[in-house]
Amino acid sequence: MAELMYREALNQALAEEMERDANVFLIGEEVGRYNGAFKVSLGLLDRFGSARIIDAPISELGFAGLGVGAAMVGLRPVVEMMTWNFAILAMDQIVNNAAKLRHMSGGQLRCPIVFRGPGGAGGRLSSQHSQALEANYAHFPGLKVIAPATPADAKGMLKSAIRDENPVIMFEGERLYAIKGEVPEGEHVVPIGKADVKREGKDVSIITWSRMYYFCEEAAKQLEQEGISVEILDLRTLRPLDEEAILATVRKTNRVVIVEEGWALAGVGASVVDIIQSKAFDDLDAPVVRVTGLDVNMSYAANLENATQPDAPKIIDAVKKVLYREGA
Amino acid sequence: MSTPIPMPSLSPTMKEGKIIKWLKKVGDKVSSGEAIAEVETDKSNLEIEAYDDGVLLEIVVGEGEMAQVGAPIAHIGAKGEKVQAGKAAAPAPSAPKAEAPKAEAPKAEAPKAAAPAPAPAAAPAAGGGEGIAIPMPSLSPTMKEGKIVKWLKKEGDKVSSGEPIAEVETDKSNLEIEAYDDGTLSKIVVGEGQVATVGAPIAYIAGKAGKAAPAPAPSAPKAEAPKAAAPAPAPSAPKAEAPKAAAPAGGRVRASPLAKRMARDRGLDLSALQGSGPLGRVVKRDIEAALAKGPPAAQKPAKAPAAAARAGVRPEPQSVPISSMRRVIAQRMTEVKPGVPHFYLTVDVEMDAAMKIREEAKALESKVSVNDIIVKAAAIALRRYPKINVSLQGDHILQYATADVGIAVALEEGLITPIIRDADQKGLAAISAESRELAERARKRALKPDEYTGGSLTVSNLGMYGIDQFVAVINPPQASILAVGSVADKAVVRDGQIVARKILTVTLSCDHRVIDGAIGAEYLREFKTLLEHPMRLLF
Repeated sequence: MAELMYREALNQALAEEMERDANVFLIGEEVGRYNGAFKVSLGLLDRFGSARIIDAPISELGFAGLGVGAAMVGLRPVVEMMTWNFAILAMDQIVNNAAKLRHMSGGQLRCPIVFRGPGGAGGRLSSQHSQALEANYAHFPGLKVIAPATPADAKGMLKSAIRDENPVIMFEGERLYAIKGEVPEGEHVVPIGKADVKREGKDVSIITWSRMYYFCEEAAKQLEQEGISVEILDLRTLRPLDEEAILATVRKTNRVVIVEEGWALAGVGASVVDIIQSKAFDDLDAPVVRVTGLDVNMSYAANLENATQPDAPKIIDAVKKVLYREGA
Repeated sequence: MSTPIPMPSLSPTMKEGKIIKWLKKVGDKVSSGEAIAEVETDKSNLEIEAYDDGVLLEIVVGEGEMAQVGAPIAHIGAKGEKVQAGKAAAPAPSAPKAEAPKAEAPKAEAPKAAAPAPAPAAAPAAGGGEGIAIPMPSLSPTMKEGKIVKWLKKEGDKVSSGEPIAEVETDKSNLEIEAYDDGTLSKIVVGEGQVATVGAPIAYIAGKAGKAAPAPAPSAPKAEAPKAAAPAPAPSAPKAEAPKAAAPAGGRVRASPLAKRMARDRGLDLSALQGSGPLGRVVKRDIEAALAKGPPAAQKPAKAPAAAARAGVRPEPQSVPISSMRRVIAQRMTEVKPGVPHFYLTVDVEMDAAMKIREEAKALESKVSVNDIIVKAAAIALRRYPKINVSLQGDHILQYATADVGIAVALEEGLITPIIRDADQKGLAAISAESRELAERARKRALKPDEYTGGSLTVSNLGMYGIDQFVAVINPPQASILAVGSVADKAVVRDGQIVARKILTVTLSCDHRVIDGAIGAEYLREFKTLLEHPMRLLF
């Protein structure tokens, strides 16, 4: 299996799907001649031409709408947002049109579109460019929301997203693009809606997704040295949530920490807690603990930026708290 | 300064002990080395001695009550001295003792606190300034709540112990609730037609003096109420059952949802547990620890069989308090079966020659049992196959240098396995005498810890019950156990002829982590050969 960067895995998925289906095209700012702001579309313009790799002007609402229209008439657009922070401009197209077309048309229209791009903190990009906005999109019926953590999942889930008959929102994690991992070649499809136990454990479950998964792994390794066995459930899909997997891990360990880059209030983790308390209440041995981004706008200063986000020490503290261990 | 006397650890497996009897009473002088109480451990009954001279200031754990090893069971000190360490609230032993622990521990309603102390203790949980709470009693095993049909007394009325005060409709029938204290009905909490969960206070009785519970008399009804088994509710009973029904009323017990579910499923009384979570919250590990020990002794059955019989109802099954010994056995067996991978080897042994030894011994007026011969053969075989004479001890294997054989002795409450040391080197008469003596003392529960710990293999014999063969569960840290059936005449083929032989079937259970099949088989072959040619026992 080839070891690829996250961005290379996405590139592979895009290329394979465009190869497979002539209706698939990519549109976004700088996706063509510049090969993508984060080089996800590297080489695709040369390979597929400007009719399918389309450089859009700075006009998120416009090209998102173009994508929705194209999907309505049978194409399969992939709309790249330079970051999800900018996609806020396109909210109306995504939320009011893409998410609802099937419903508004009484099932006569479909909207097989993928909106994708990086989310979360980048690294000293301050408050307008560092937001983990998954929860916003997970809120809307009609959308599917995915946020893979590993290159292999990134490839497999993008392929699933492109093939999906419904609009899919894909969060990629700005800091994940250079992360390397083994990626199966060719037809590697990861289903949407299935979480993944990335690490088996018995004392406590950490439920997380996207970039936070790596902090959780780091924490789990340290905790293991203290004799604490951590299970990590990578949700991968935030809408629909994989209830079965969530409940299974709760029933296994009875104690849960949820790690989320975004803010706590109305976060995805809050919905995970709701599932747990309503369907596995009798399996809980301690209140669920959440580790989230602090309830502030992201700082520019590097030290403050780090302090704002979850990290391994915070996760370790949370695990000890949920285990009622000393020092928490 | 007063000194607490902790529950001593009297055996390696002892985690808690039950006070059988106090040999001293509060106010008595005690001197170092003097026996002050009799304690039942999981293995035997022993006396606890005082380590210090002084006066017995306070008895914390009453007769029939359990205490964890290390927990204070009494305090001694100078005459008239106050007890230290949080017990300061109890100036004299006669003061309302139940209140003291309540103030300091979140485990306010734990039966331990409310359990009868030898000195007159304050009666059940005082209900704030109102007096003593009368909880909704549990009048049937399925009762979770009861409806007050009618109050037979009104607020301000005098009530005396045993007097009916209210009529209650349960899920089964209408019954009267009786007061178990004298005093004044100070407050009715649950009105007529209203429903209360079992354990929730329905009214308060103020003592004669007014607010506080009367000190002198109540100790008697309190101690006797459960025994009396009258329809009158035992004060401690509904309290103990309330959390079982997960009722928020009465004493709130902090417990995780999982712990509550586990307690409910296993019929465990949460209020009797000391939670290890924040603010004393009972969590899974506490339940597991409690399950390993069995339900607390304080959880006395509070059924009313007499009343039930009177009402023409079939008698209810009785819950019998679990003995310390059975509790430890239950815990360890649960650990052993999934924890130690067993495999089993079975062999038939021709016992004709060995049985002759018994007859010869009889002629010498020496009593030798089949089991004694088996113990000797097992020990000699252990010597010859040292690979089976081992025990897994965490990260290393202990290779024993002696052949010490345990013999399983069935007591009413469970099994104990005294050890015959160096059984390979002892004569049959010595083994016979020793095993009889050990068994005798085991039945009296008078064995010393070193007499039943150690040993590499146990012989468990059910032959006397006519059992042909069975498989036994290993008694860790031992790595094998020999299950011995009866010696019976059986038809076997010898030299092409069907002949009758005295056949004994033994099954060796081995801990596969340290003993492999071939090792077990070799051992068993040696054991068989020794018994079939008992002359070899001499070499």
